[in-house]
Amino acid sequence: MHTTGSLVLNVLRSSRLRWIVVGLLAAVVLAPASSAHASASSTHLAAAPVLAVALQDADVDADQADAAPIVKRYGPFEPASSYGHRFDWLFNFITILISVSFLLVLILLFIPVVRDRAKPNKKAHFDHGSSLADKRFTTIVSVTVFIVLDALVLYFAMIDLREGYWNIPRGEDELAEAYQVEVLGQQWAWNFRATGADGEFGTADDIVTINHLTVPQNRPVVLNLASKDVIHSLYIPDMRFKRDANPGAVNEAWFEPIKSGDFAILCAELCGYAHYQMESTLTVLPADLFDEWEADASIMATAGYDEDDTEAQWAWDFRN
Amino acid sequence: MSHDGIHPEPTSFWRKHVFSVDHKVIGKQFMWFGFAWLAIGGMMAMMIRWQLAYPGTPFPVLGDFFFPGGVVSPEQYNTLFTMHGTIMIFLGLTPLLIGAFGNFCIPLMIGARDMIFPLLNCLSFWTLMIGGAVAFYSLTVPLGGSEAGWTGYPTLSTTVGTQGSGETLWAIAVFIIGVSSIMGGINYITTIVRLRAPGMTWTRLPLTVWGLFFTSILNVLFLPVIGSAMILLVLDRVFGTTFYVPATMAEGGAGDPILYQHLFWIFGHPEVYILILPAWGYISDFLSFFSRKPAFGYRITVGAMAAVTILSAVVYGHHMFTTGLSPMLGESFMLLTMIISVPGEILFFNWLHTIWRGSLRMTTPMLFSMGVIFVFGLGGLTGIYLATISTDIYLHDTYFVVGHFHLTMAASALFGAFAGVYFWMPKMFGTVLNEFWGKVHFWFTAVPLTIVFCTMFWSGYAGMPRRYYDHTYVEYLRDLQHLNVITTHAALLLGAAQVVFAFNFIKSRWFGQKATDNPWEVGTLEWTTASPTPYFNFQEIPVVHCGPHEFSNPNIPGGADWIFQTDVLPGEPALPATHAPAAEPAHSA
Amino acid sequence: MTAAQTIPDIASTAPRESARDRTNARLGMVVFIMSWAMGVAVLVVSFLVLRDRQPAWPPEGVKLPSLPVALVATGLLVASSFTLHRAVDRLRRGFRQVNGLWAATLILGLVFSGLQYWLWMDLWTAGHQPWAAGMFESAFYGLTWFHAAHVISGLLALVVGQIGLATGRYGTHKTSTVANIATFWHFVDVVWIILFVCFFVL
Repeated sequence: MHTTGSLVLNVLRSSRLRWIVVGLLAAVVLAPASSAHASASSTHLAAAPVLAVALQDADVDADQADAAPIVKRYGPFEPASSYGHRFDWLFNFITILISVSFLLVLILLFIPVVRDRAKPNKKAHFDHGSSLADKRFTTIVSVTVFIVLDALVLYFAMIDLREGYWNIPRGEDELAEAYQVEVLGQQWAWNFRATGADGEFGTADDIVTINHLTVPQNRPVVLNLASKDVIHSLYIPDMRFKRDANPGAVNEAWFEPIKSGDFAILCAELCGYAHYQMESTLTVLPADLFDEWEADASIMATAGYDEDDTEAQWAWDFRN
Repeated sequence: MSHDGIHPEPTSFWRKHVFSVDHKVIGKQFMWFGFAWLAIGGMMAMMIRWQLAYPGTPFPVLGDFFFPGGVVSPEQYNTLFTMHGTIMIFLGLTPLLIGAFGNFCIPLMIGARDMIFPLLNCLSFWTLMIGGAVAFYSLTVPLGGSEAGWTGYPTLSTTVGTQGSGETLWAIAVFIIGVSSIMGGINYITTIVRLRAPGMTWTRLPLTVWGLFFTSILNVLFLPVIGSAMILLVLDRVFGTTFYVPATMAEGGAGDPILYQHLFWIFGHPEVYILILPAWGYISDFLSFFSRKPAFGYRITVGAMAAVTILSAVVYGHHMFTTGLSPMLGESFMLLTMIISVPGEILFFNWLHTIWRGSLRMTTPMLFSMGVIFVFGLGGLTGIYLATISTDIYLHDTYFVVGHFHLTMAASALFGAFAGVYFWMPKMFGTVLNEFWGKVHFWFTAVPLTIVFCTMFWSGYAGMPRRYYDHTYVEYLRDLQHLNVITTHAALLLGAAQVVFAFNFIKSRWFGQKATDNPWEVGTLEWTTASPTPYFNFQEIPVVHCGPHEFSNPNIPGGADWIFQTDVLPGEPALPATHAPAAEPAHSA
Repeated sequence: MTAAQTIPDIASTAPRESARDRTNARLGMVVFIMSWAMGVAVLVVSFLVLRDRQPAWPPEGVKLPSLPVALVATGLLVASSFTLHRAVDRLRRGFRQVNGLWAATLILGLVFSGLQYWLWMDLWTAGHQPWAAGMFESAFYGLTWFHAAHVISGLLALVVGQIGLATGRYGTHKTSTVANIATFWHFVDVVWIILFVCFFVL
């Protein structure tokens, strides 16, 4: 078997050299990326001329589009909703669990690779692993892994769901306290409808907006989502929020913003060729500013209300 | 008309190479078919990645052939990722993993002369060929190919969301491919149940055959589900029925788009295991073969695979956590999904235990098998985030999911397939793949692949949704573009590495070193016959006396560390009391 | 390989099939029916789920196709299953002459197809086309078309069986193919009964 290129193979067999190969590979991949938005380095130009051309184009576009430098991001922004920290905590918790598990797998994989290489006159340890002790061992290990890895996560997830995502305000008192929004997705925009000052949907003072939702800070926002044509999904990364908007059915969800400011709303479910353009804005206002805004918006909505415009009267009974 | 015996060797070109009923020829046909579509689907992936890293710039060299001005348009981009998924799953990996090795290995490994229904086998391949042709044709129709994603969710996939015949043809293609898989599944199950050689008891089957057996069961039970879902979709598109079109639509209707999601994932989740079970089977065998050590806990491994097969049917809801499942259903699916990880853990445990204190021969198939442990470990563990509803809500439909499922069902299955190609090449074509270039192929595949999908974890965690034509359009995602660039560069390197494989495969196939009958020194039945395998497989139907993994058994005489399954281990009875059904003579006059 | 010429058990053209051959063929058929039943189950369950969502059933303004005709059609199809079963049973017990029974099955199947067509036209001419955007029309046409495709396949298989029986290709010496055709026809029959219950009884 091992006749062709045996010299090179021997080189590859040496584990130190192999890591050098891996390192080189990583360098080739990562080096151009670090210069993607800055100027392309000359070594990279020499290495991959095709890439370099595109990079130059990208640079020109970037210069024309926006002068503000883009700060690279490697993770989500701080959570801005009351339950957002739950996601962050559980994500980090799972990360630690699986990092330890994966490290363990890697160690168990690499010890034999280094220690148990085939050598002349060396036989492997003969063991079918079918004895009762082996089966017991396997059972104990798998039950342990299930408890540590799965059951623990399951437990925390249940708590998070009960107190977070699924703790949708439903009672009349709770709903009265909450800010209610009907969301209607369409190709390719988000329609938002709030009750306005009178607290009821389907009236003249409903605040109807496209691609811009304004909500109060520190009050639960209860959303009822549906869609006009295809399935969309309302995704607010900073709120750690996502819910599908289905045609023909209404979905409920909620979040409570705890920070004021502007946040991005995206569509997370493929909805056609302009899926990527369904970018909207969520504005969270502190309570006093919000009340002012709501009063103004209701007056403007009433003034602009047109009874004959049936297209705009898409409100449905709010589910609670 | 006995099915057991072999049909006489054909002499005409057509019956020999094209409409052959010989399982070995059909296996090779599936293999070439799979390679061709993997190349097409891989090229699509390169185009997708190029668009994501450098939106709006022409795809180098080939762009002008496919896109106006060389730039992918949003519609074409949607077609690209839709067909990339469909092609890779249905026309690339399935034919390669199940079609090629299933056909080639099952009769050889169980000691039969051919599949039990040779004609059905031939039909299965040519049905797949028709399915592939329809899928390919759908790319060329005037309004463009399917644009609704490989999941094809209505109402986007009904005429509400996509006009033209592309989507309809896509649905028809999936249906036809499903029929082909069902034919294959029927053949595999019946063959494994009925045609095992004397002495080839269920506990002596190589794990490869077990993996393929469970895959076939899933194929047979769950492909009809997607078939029916596609029938309803085609009816909706062509005849204007309203199975998936809900009542509040502008046009009116009475159906439910969520019904499709249920049907799709009832099929879709088992499909993940359809792809991974054969790979698990192969590597369970290879790790034992190349560690020169029995597969640790054979029965437990088989039991774990069986458990996965059963559980795979009841976890599908985890694809729909944001769809609007009731909390009770959601929590049930979360629990079941957590439970399905237990058999997976047991498999890992057994694999790691198999190589422990072995005598490792680091050949290319072994490298790829260990690669499966690596990538499936990475992919499987990150599944915990997605099985957990409270973390999945944020991560759903982001690049995190893309990274996860590519590592589990794409990379693992692909590595399993590559391991199989390197391992069975001598038996299939009588030549050996060059080991040096094989190792180059492995490292230049494994390292960029890890970078590609781990960077996707990163960008998905940072909030980058999938299926976006241009992430730089969205202000919120502009500061994540550098991650896209890293992914694309690694992906291009990954694609280039496959050229090494193609070159190695073609060179070794026709100009390679001739293989000996048993170059890997393993004992399963296919290695008892000549390389390449003669038309009749075995001179006489072999009689099996021991399991497939009797490596380093101290009872083996003569200092060797392996014996054929046809050899009798000293100190053991020649045939057990319960043996396979083939003891009955193949022909009764 | 020079050995190839000396392989002992080349598939014989011997007309007689062994018990082992029969089991092989029957097992394949059982797996196939199990598989296809999943597909049918999906359609039926989907229909029941969607039907459950409708405010009224049958929906307002929908006139069900003629129940007597549907009943007769069902009766004919069940009868055809009986004649077919009888034919296969006779073959298995060694009686050569089953052409008549087989042909009766074929004719009953054809009459059923005619009545099925009549049922479609009954609904169609009443103004209920499949694109009427109602669940009844969608389901009735969709599911019966699906069934009709199987009736056609079944009839073609019956014709193949008839020719095979007439030419002596199948017979008492080789029953697995005709038995499989019969199994498929019974399956088609059972699916129709389920559809009948779905549309006319429930």
